[in-house]
Amino acid sequence: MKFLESMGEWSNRIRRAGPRAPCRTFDEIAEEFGVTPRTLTAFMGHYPGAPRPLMDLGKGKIKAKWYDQAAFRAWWKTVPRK
Amino acid sequence: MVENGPTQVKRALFLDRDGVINDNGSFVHKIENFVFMPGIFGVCRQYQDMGHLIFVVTNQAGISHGYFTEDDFQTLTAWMVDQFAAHGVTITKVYHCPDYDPIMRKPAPGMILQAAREYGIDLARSTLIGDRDTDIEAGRAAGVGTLILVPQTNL
Repeated sequence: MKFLESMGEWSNRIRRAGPRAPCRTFDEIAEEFGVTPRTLTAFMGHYPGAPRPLMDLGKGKIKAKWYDQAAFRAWWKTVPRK
Repeated sequence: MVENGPTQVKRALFLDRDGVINDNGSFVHKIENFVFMPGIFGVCRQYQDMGHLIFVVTNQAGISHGYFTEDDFQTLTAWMVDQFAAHGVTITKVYHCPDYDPIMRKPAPGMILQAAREYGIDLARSTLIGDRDTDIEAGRAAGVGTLILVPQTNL
């Protein structure tokens, strides 16, 4: 098995990236935008550039996706609304 | 000791337990098997003197696997907190999440974010020490400013 980077390299990469604002779950993001998760999902399918989750955890019905809230807000500004 | 006054932003030190506070045996749940890592009390005292609140964030999957009970964990935790107190270190709170919870259980940042909400912690000025990639991922997802990965130990 060949690793792409060592633990040290990985640790340095994370450290160099610096802190970021806390991640938010999909439901929290939807609540902040004032829409339901279902509506937000529809927007994401319709308008390109929606951020991908940083972490996709869980399995079955117990799942949660965590997103970079700044990236989500930046994309949300590009979404036309009535 | 620097007090966190009402106008002062609180900082925190988040510690994983197994592998950071104690040597990482297999599902440590008995006091007689709990061996503190060398220097852990001194590190905590230094952070405490710099005004950090100290939290433990640990998954403790052994409970959900049935290797030990919630009561075993709580008994050991009370003893561990007393040992820290005897060395002049106040553990503000111990968070754990033995169940498969994608919000709370590391690598999810839920336990750290809960501590930040409950105690008004400035996460960007806080520190996390862990011995696994999941610890670091959780800290990074929570926006913890300083992430320290220590080598894994296994006695």
